[in-house]
Amino acid sequence: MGARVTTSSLTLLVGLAALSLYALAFGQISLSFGDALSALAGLQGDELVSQIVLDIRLPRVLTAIIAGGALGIAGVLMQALFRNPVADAWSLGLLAGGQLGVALTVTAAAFAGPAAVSFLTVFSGPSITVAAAIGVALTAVFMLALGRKIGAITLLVVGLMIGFTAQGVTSVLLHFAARAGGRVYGGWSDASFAGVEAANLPWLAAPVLGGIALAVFTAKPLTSLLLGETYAKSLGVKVSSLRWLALAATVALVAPVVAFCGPVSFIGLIAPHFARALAGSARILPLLPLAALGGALLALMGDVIVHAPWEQHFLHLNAILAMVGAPIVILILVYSPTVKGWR
Amino acid sequence: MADLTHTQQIERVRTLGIPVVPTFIDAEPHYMGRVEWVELVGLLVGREQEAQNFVFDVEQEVARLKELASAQPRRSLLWAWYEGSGDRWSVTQRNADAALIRDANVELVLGKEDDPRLDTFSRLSTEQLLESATDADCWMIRDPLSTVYTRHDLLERFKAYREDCVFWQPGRRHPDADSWEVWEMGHIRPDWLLSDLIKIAHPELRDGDYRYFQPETWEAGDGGTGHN
Amino acid sequence: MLRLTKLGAGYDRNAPPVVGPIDLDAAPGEFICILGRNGAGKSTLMRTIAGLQPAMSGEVELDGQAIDNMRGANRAQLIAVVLTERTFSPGLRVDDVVMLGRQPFTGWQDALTAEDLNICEDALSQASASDFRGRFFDDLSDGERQRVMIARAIAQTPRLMVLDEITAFLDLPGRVEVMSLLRRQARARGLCVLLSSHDLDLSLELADRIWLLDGAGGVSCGTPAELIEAGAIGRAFDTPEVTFSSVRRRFELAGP
Repeated sequence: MGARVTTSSLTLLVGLAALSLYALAFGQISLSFGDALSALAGLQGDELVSQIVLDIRLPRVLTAIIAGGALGIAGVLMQALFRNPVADAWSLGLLAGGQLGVALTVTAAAFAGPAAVSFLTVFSGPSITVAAAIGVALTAVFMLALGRKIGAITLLVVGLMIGFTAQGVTSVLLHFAARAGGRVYGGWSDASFAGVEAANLPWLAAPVLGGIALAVFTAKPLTSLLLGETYAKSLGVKVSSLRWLALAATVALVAPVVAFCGPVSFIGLIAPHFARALAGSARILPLLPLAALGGALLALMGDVIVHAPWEQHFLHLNAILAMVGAPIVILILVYSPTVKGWR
Repeated sequence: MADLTHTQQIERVRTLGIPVVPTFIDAEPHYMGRVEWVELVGLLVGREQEAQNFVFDVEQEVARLKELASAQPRRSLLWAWYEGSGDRWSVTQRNADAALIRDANVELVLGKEDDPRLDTFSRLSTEQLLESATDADCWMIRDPLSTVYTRHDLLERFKAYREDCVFWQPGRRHPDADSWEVWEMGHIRPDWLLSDLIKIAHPELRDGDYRYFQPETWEAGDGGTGHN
Repeated sequence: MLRLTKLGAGYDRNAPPVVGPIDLDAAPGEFICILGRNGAGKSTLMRTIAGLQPAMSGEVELDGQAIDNMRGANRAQLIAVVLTERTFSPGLRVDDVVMLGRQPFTGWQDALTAEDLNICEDALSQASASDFRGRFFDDLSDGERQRVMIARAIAQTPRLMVLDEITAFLDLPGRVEVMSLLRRQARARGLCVLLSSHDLDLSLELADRIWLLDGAGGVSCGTPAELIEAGAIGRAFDTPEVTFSSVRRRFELAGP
């Protein structure tokens, strides 16, 4: 089993590296692999090429990798925490909750006056991450409580509905915030990895790294939670503190992604299923690298398609993710043995 | 009726017993075409002479401004509004909007051949601006609904940014009417727009008094509201 | 080995306990069946003994150590639990489930040594579940699933195994197999097995001793023969419709 995880991880890593290089070399403007590599090495003579590779594409590629990886790991945590094979930050409405948190903050600032708005603009990285974290955490707690009352598939439907509701409210709020002079974030109902500049990458990466550390730390007890609360308890796990830790890890992973990239759909739901298939196991710890790499690969694929040199067109990231992701979810729901008990 | 895509509605409105006179103002291939619709409105409300005088005045003023601009050295202007999502720009390229810009004795950077089947603008990426638009003398960077573009490291590559010739369009907001004047009056007062444009493109003609445009502040906010 | 001292099990401290207070003990290698009607408190008693819920009063000792004072991981090294509830588990394979039995013994990474893996393999074969390896746990039938859960409990190498009505979903041959498997394990490993069951006939046949819950908080303890002799089975289970015949060792319809 260990060998299987190692081989799969290395394969995914190689694929991710190759795709990253492609994404650095090709976009609306086509460079060459050589150009991209020399720019990375700092040997690129053409300043424009170097700027396109290092200042525009590299932050985007890193953002896609970090965000996709974070969502993949968060998906593994949530599917264990909710004991629900279709749980993920997007499907259970956590991303929309995070967006709503940011929208409320921006609206409050807009009505509070220009000083509040410019504070938000200056400290946009940390302040929107905190706002998103509050939204994500509240939604997660609510869904956990609800998850004890209703079945997994019902919870999925409720989660999607909560997502729609929160996004509707977010859209209305941002509209009025814009009218009140709080136009801090625009075009945010779609997901995108292109909006993060290099200076903000640490704000994205730091909470995600913290979340990964927590995920690794909770991996062992979370595995036993897959059998249910009583069995986990009988195996010596303190279930309530485990829940809080896993929840904290999820929030740390998801909140910066919502704050910087918007509601990235489907990746967190699908990546854990790929990871389990590759590992041939559901033990959490080996799933983490696989889900992270798989999520990163999915995210980067979506981004590469969005930024392919379509003339004068921009495709929407979530449209691409939905075209690929929704059929996969349908296949999972209909055929996957992991959903058998919930069908 | 803004343009020809709205023709299906004509019959529906007529069935309600309302007489319809289609005015496809947005479909006009030239900016002066929009102004001439005022004569039709004048005819309908019985103020034909007044309308004719208005159109004549605008034509005169536009001609005067074109003359004024043509005496200045030719300059180049990039008209690209930041749409958000990190790297998306609406770049004005053709048709009526492009014609007005060109009449300010300006070369429209990234401009294209007119094509009535296409919008006046296209969506381009930051990369494409970096590749082809860094030499523009001036840059119109956002409209009232765009977010502020804050990648100063990339902006540094643009001549317009380095030489402090970046403008935006607050457009004179009227909060009571929830409207922006530039999208209402602006359609029939190309002379006002052209006057602003000339001042932007030709530093010698600047007097600091702009109607719809302002130097970019690089800060969020609507840059002041309607003040008549 | 297992000693219950004035143990009261229940949920509400202000009400009398559901079961108890009782004094009971069990020796290594003993296979004990816990019998009683629905609602008599079998599950409550077993959960308390397994340390899954605190005792209302008194205490449970295993090898001289009070269970309530043990840390979770230590307790898990001594007591294995199998429940009746059908567990659905996103993506767990049979191997994963059995390996969970080793979790109380592994480090924070949950890395399994070669010895751990041997124990798991052995446990699977003891429970005749080796053929299920590699399959999804959720894909198994009820009987197969119970075998895997028992294999997991065996892999936990406990001193005490607590199994709550695990034969409920099985057919007769399945029940016989599972119960004799557990009896063999108790004998072979010197562990104490507590099994609650509705299966009166089989329990009387296979158990070393019976703990019979009378439904009023009391527990009678003895070998099957002793309890039948004393008429305790009849007192616990008889209704106006059916009565337990001590002679035939089975229930009979009452009256003419």
